Amino acid sequence: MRIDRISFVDDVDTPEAAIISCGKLMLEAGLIKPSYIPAMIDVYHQLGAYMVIAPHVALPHASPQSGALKSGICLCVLRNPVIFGHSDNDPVHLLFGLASHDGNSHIQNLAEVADFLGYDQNITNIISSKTIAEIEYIFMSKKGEL
Amino acid sequence: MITKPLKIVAVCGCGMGSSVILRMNAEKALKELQIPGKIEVADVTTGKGAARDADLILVSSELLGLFKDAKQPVIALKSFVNKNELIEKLRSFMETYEEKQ
Repeated sequence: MRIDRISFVDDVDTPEAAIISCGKLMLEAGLIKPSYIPAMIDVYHQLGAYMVIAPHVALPHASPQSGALKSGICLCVLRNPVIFGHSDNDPVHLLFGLASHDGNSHIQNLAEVADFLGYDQNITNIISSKTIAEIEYIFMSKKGEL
Repeated sequence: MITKPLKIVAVCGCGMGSSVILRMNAEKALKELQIPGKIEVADVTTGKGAARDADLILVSSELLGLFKDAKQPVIALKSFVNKNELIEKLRSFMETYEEKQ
């Protein structure tokens, strides 16, 4: 499982602002072109909170043609959670921004991240982390994989 | 007994994020329940077409409204990473499905 970049964000209070923060991280990591950020917001506006895939976890993404340069995932941890409008999984604390340039090469990594998120304790542990090092440790101690 | 493998379509917004997770978990769930089946991934625009000859549609509870007119059975999921939710819902689907066969 590989997370390209991790960052804490304290000052967002809307889903759009949260997606933009995550998008900036993905931009810094070289995963996307700037056009990918409004594309992720469009997906949210068109389809709503379905991208909140687990309790407190959103997976913002857009199609490969929207400006994805590489396959990868960045994690944005919101210090103040945001309501996305999901009937069960709000509020959102964690955004795993996903990009795939070919619609294919991200699958193995995404599968491992999904597996990791399948354990509620992992989500709780990341939310309560205070530093990036703590989060990296949680990823690393995940059953010896990384 | 099911003689023909189930055709299942997992639908999400782009066909590359949550539906991919859903396919992976559904494959594990089918294996655990010993149900023969094949799972395809689709996005919301191709989803309805792909679902036309499917035996089952898997979708986020948030996208259920798009499939309210679907003739095929639909399983709506709250969490895409919770295997138990999927296994439970597949198990109860199979009970009705097998009765109809």
